[in-house]
Amino acid sequence: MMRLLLRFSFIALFCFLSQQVVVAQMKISGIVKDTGGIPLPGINITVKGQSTIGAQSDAKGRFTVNIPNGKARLVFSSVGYISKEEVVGSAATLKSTLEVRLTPGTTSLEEVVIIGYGTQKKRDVSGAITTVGSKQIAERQAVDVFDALQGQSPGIQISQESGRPGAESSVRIRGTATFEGGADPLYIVDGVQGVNIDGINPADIESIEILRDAASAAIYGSRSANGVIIITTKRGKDGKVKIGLQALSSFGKLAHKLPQATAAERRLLDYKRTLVSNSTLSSSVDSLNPSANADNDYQDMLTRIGARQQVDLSLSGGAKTFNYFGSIGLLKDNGIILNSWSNVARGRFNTEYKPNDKLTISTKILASYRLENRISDGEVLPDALARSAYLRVYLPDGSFLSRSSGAQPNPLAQVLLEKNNFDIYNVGIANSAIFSLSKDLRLTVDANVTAENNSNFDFMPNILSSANPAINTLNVNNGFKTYWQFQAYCNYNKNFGRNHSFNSTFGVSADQTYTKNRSQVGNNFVSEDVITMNAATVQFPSVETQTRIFSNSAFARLGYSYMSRYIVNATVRADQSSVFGASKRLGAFPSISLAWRYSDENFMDWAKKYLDDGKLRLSFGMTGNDKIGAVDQFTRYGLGSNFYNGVSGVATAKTLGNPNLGWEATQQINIGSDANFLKGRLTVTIDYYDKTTKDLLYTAPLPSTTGFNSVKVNVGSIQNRGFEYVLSGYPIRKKNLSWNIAWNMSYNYNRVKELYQGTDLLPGNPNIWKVSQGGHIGDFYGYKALGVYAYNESNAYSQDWVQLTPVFDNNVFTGYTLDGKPYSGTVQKLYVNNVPLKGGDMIWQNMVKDSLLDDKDRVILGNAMPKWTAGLTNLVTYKQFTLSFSMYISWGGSIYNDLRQGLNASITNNNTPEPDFIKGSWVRQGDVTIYPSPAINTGIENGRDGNSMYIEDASYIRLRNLRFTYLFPKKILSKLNLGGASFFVFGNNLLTWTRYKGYDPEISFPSVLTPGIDVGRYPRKREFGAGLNLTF
Amino acid sequence: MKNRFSFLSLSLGLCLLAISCNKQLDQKPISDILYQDFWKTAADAKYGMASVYSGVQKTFSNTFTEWGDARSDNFGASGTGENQVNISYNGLTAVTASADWSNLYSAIARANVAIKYIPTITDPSFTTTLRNHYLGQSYAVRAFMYFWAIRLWGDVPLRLEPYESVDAPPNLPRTNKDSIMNNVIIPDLKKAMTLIDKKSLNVFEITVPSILSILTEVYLWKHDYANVIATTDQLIALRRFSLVTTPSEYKDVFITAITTENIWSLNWNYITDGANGIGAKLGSNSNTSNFQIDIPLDIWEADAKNNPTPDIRRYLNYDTAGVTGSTGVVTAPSVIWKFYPIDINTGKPAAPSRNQNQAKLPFYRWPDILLMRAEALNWANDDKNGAFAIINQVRRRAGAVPLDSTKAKYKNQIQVEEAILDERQLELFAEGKRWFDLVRTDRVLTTMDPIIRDRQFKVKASITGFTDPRKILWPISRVVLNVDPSLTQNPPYSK
Repeated sequence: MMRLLLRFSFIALFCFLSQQVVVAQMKISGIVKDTGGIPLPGINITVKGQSTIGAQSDAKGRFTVNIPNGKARLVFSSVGYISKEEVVGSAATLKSTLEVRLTPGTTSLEEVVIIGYGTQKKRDVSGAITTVGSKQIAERQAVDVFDALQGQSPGIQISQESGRPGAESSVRIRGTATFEGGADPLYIVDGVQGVNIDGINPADIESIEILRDAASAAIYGSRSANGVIIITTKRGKDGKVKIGLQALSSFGKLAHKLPQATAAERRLLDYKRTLVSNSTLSSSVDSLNPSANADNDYQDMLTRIGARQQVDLSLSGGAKTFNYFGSIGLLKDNGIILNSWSNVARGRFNTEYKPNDKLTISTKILASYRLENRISDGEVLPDALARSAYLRVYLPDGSFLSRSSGAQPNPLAQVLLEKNNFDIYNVGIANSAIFSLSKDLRLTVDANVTAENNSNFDFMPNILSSANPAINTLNVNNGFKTYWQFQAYCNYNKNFGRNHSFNSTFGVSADQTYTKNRSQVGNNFVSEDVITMNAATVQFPSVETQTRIFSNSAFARLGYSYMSRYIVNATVRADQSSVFGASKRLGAFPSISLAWRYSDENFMDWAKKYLDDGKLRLSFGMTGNDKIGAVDQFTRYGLGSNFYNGVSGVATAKTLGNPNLGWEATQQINIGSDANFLKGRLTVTIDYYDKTTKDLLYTAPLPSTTGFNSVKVNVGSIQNRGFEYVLSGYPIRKKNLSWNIAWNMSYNYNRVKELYQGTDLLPGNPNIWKVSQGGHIGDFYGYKALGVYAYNESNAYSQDWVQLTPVFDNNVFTGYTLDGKPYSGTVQKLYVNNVPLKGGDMIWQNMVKDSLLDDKDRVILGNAMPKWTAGLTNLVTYKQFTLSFSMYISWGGSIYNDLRQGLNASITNNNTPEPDFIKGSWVRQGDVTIYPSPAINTGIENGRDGNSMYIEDASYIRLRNLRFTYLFPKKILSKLNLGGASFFVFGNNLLTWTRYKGYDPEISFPSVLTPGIDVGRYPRKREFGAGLNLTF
Repeated sequence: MKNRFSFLSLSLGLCLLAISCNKQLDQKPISDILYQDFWKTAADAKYGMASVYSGVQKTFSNTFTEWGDARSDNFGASGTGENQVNISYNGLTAVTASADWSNLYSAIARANVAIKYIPTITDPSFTTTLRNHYLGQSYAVRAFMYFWAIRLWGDVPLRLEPYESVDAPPNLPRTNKDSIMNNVIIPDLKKAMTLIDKKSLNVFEITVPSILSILTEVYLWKHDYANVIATTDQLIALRRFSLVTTPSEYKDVFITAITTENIWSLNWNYITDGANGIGAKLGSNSNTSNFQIDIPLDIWEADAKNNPTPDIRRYLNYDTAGVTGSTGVVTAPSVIWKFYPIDINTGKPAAPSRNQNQAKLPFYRWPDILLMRAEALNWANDDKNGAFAIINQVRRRAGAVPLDSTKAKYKNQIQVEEAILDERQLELFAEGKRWFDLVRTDRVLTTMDPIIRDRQFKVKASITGFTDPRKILWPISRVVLNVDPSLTQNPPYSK
C-alpha cells in the first residue's frame, strides 16, 4: 500500500514536472539503421512515459532528443519495424552518439489498425481482426484483391468461380451463416460501401483488415453478418515525388489433363454397347468413314500456353498541406483455353488537402475498365470430354464442321467462333472532409458515389447453331448500377491523466442502390459482319427490371482503456432498410468486447523475459444480413413474360410477398488470445467463436397449388463454431539472414438447427443435397453404390435382405449360398421402377428394407465443407535476395464430380465415358466390375445423380505461390539514379497433392446451399513469370 | 466540457438528419405492379385474362404430347433419352418431368385471381357484357384444367380461391375426382355458358362452342351419352362448323386455325410467347424427335400399299419418302409435320427449328366432336349406322376408303367403338386424344401390354409390359411431393 502510494505520488510529481519548463535536460543524439546497416529516416523516438514524440530521425537516420536528467528509456518505433527500447542515462552519457538497429517486421504493437469509422492502436484492439499489409500483397503478384488475400488470414475461405481470366471470386468468413441472404462479406473501401472490388488494383492497397468477429463487425450492423473486409488505399507521403513502376510477364498452362477415351477406346465402347443391347455397329462410325476416322485430343486442341502481362505505374508525393497518390495499372491476361482473355485497366487518384490544422479534405477517384471474352466457361470442357475422339472437327476444305451437321457440338468451333464479350466500366468518387474541432474532437463528413455498367454481348454464328437452316443469335444484357452513400460521424478521443483513455464515435449514414437490367435477344442476322441488333431479322421483346433500395442508419462506439491493460469497447448500430416490411424495418445491432493485457500485470513480471505482450479478448455481438430482393416483401404482378394472342398478360409473380419480412440476425461470441514472445520473434493468435444465425432469410417453397412457388421467410437457425490460430515468427533474424514464417489454421463446424416447419430442403439441380435439422450445409444426399451385379441371378436376397451368392455348375445356375452354406429360404429381388435389376446393373444400398429401390433409399454421403484449412507463408531474406512461398491446405471436404458422373452415366450414346469406365464396365454374365453395363438408358437409372462413386475426397495441399526477388544494391541504384529496384521470378499453383480426379480440387462455391459440385469449369493454370520493380 | 457539449450537439444534429429521410424507406417496386394496384380498369381485365391463357400455353408447351399421346400406341421412344424411354416403356417415375403439375396449377391460380377480382372492377367503361365474358372464360379455363388434372392424376388438390397470405396454410389434401367432376367442372362450365358473350367467334379463346366441346368430352368421359348427344346437338344447331374439304384447307386447320372446322386452338407466337415445346417432342429441323410414330405409321403405310389413292393424312403428317425402304422395312420418319405450313420451295411441310416452333395446338375441332357423337350414338342408341355415317364422313374427306359397316368385324357395340377409336387415332393423331380414348374405353392394358412387351424385348430390357391398371394414372412429381410431404403418391409409384 505504502509502495503504491509512493509510486502514485512519484507519477504525480513527474506529471507536474513535465508541465513545467524542464529544469535539467540532457541531449542524446544518434543514428537509426536497419539490420543491413542502411540509415532509416522517419523513425519516431519517444521517451517512455511521455505522450508526445520526442524526435524523428532525419533522411540520414540521425536524431537528437532531449531527455530528462538521469535514466530514461527511449522507444524507437515505426510502421514496418519492430519497436526497440534503449536505456540511456548517466552511464550512457559517455557514448553520446547512440546507434540503434531496427529489425523489419510487421508484428509491431504500435501499428494502427483500421476499424469501422476510425482507427485503433493494435495494442488496444479487443476484437478478432487480421491486417494484411501492402508488403504481403506485393509478394503475391496478385491480379485482384481476392488473389492477394488467399491464405493470408485464418477463418477466411476464398474461391474463384473458375480459372478463366477475370473470373470472380467468392469469400466466406468463418463458414456459412446464411441460406441465401448473400454469404459474401461486406467490403468497405476507404470508408465507402458499394465499391466493385474487381475494380481495385491490388498494387494500390495500403492495407486490408479482416473483421472476423461480431464485435468488430457490428458497427456495420445489418450488412455485417458475413464479416467485414476494410480496404485502405495508398496515400501520398510527404517528400519528393516518387514514381513506381512494376512490370511483369508470365506464362501459364493447364496443370494436368484428364484422361479421355481415344478413338480406339471409343470404338471399344461402341462394340461393348452392341453386346449389351440387341444392336449392330452403326456403319456411320466405321473407321473408313472420313467423318469418323480422326483421333482427337480435345484438351490439347483447346488449350494453349496462356500469357499475362501486367504493368503498374504509380506517382505519389506531397508537401505539408497537400499529398497525392495516382496510379494506373494495365493487365492483359490470355487464358489457357483458346480465345479466352481479359484486359483490364485500373486507375486511381487520391488527394488530400490540409489548408490548416482544422480541416482535411480528401478525394479519391477510382475508374476501371475491363473487357473480356469469357467463351462458354462450364460447357466447353464437358462438351469436349464427352465428344467421341473419332469424330472430325474440320471438313475436308479446312472449315469447321458445323453444329447442325453433327449432333455433338464442335468444341473448337465453339471456343473460337462464339463471341461472348463482357464490358465492365466502373467509376467511384469518394469525398471526405474532416474537421478537427478541437484536439480531441473530429467530425468527418463523407459523400460517395459509384456507378457501374456491365454489358454482355454474346453472339453465336450460324456455324454453332443446331438448327437447320442455321439460326445465328445475339444476346445482349446490360446491367447498370448506381450507388450513393452519405455519412457523417464524429470521433471524440480523450485521455484523462496518463492511464485513462476514452474514445467515442457517433454517426449516421444513408445510402441508396439503384439497378437497371435490360436484356434483348435477336436472331437471323442479315449478315454476320454486322452483329448489332439492327441486323437481326427477329427481335424478341426486351426485358427490363429496375430496383431501388434505400437504407439509413445511426451508429455509436464507446471505448475505454486503462493503461492499455483493461480495454472495453461497445458499439451499437440501428439500421432501417426499404427491403423489409414496415413493421420489421428497424434493426438494432449491439456489441461489446473486453480485453485484458495480462502481461502488464505485476504478477507476470517473471515472464517479461520471454513474453513481450499478452492479451486475452472476449467479445459478443449481433450482426445482420439484409441481402434479399428489393421487393420480396410485396406480392406483385409481373409484366412482359405472359403474352397471349398479342396481348401482354399480367400475372402474379412466382414469389408470394411477405409483409413480415425482417432482418437475419447473427449472434457471435469470440474468445481470443494474442501473445508476442521473444521480442517479436514469435506471435501467437488464437480465437474460438460460436455464431448462431436466427431468423434465416430464405426462400421457402410453396406448393404449386397456391399459384406461387415460394415465399421469402425469416425462419430457421444455423450455427457455426470454430477455432482459428496463427503462429508467426522469425526462426532466424540475423543481420544478413532472416526467415519469417506464418502458419494459420481454421476449423469450422456447421450445423443447421431449425428449418421452416421442419421441412428438409432438397436444393439444387442435380438434386444431390439435403439440408435438414441437425444436418450440415453441404451434405450430399444420394445412393450408396455397392458394386455391380455379376449375374442376373446375383439380384437375390435373403429374408433379412442379405445378398445371396449364386452358384453355377458348368454355367448352369444351381442355387444360392448364404455365408458359404446352401440357402433354400425365400429369395427376394430388388426392383427399380418395377423392373428387377439384372447382371450389369448397379447394386445400391437398400436403406429401407423393401423390394423397391427408390428415393427413400437415399442417405447422406458426405459433406462438401473442409474440416480444416490452413495457410503457410514463408519469407526468407539473405542480403539482397528474398525467397517467399506460400502453401494452402484444405482438408476433409468432398466434391461431387458431376463431370465424371455425366460422362459415365450412359444417358445418351453421344457421351463418351472415361477410358476407365469403357475398359472396366460390365458386358457379360459373370463379369465382376466396378462400373455397370454401358447399355444406354435401360430405364433403371444406373447412371443416376447422387451416385456415391462420384463423391470424391477433395483434400489437397497446394504450393500456391513461390517468388524469388533480387534487390539491387544501393551502389548500383545511385549510379542509375534510381530510388529502388528489384527483379523477381515467380510461380503460381506449382504443385498440388490430392486424390481428387477432376482438374482442380479448389472449386467455386457460388451458391450457399449447393456447394462442392464440379461441373468441369475452366481449370486454374500453372503459372511462371518474371518482373521488375522500379522506383524513381 | 465544451468538447463534450459539442459532441452531443453534433450527435443530435446528425440524428435529425437521419430522421429527415425516413420517407425514402417506402420504396415501391419499379418494374412490377403491386398486388392491390391491379384489376382496376377494363384494360386490366384484358391483360389479366391474357395471363390466364398464357398459363394454359405454358402448361401444354412441354406436356401436350406426353399427357395425351406418348403413352399410347401412337408413339414410341425415339433415341435413348431417359424421359422418353420411361414414358414409352411404361416406366414413369416421380422424376418424369411431365408428372409435375406446377404449370397446370399456375394456370388455375390465375383463373382464380381473375374470378375473384373481375367482379370488383369499378371502371364505368367496363360493360357488364365484357365483365361476364371474361368471367365466363375464366370459369371455363379453370374447369378445363381441372378436367385434365383428374384424368391424369385422379384425386387432386382443389383450390377455388386465390392464395393470398403467407399466414394461410398452403397445403391442401387431395379431393375426390368424382366430386371435382360433379361439383366443380360441370357446374363451372354451365355457369360459363350463361356468362360468355354469345357473339364471340375468337377461335383462340373460350367461346360458346368451346364450352360445349369441353362439356361433350366431359360427359363422354363420364359415359353420360345422352348429354353427349345433347351438347353435340347444340353444336350442330349453331350451323357454324363443317369439315374442310381440300388438303390445303386441312393444313390451315393447324396453321391459321381459322377454318370452318376449328373450335378452340391455342394461339402461339414464338417471338412473344417462347417456342412451343412440341418441337422437341415431335421433331424439328434442329433435333431428332423424342418420340416417333408407331402404330398409325403401319396403318398408313399398309393403306398406301393397298390403295391407289391413299389417305391424304399420311403425307400431311409425315414425309412419306424413304419411310418404306427397298426391303419393305418401314422406318419411322424423324419429324411429324402435321402442324407446320408447306414450304414453298420444296412443296412439303417443313418443321421449324425447335426454338421457333409456334404450332397452334388444337384442343377441339369438328371431326373430334363428330366422332365423340358417334361413340355416344353407338352406346346410347346402338345406332351403328349413325356411327358409321360419321366415321365414313371423316374418312371420305381424308380420301380414305370408307368402311363397310356390314362386315362381320363390326358386329357388336364394342367392335363399332373400336372402329370409331381407330378413326380417331388417325384423324386426331398427335392432338392429345389417343391416350384418353384408351383410358375412357378401358383399353389401355389390352392395347399397350403387347406393344410394351415387344419394345422391351427388342432392347433386351426386363419384360414387364403393362399389367398394372394402377399405372394408368400418372405419378405425382417428386418436385410436388418435396414441397408438400403430406400428399400421398399414387400407388404403385414410389416417392
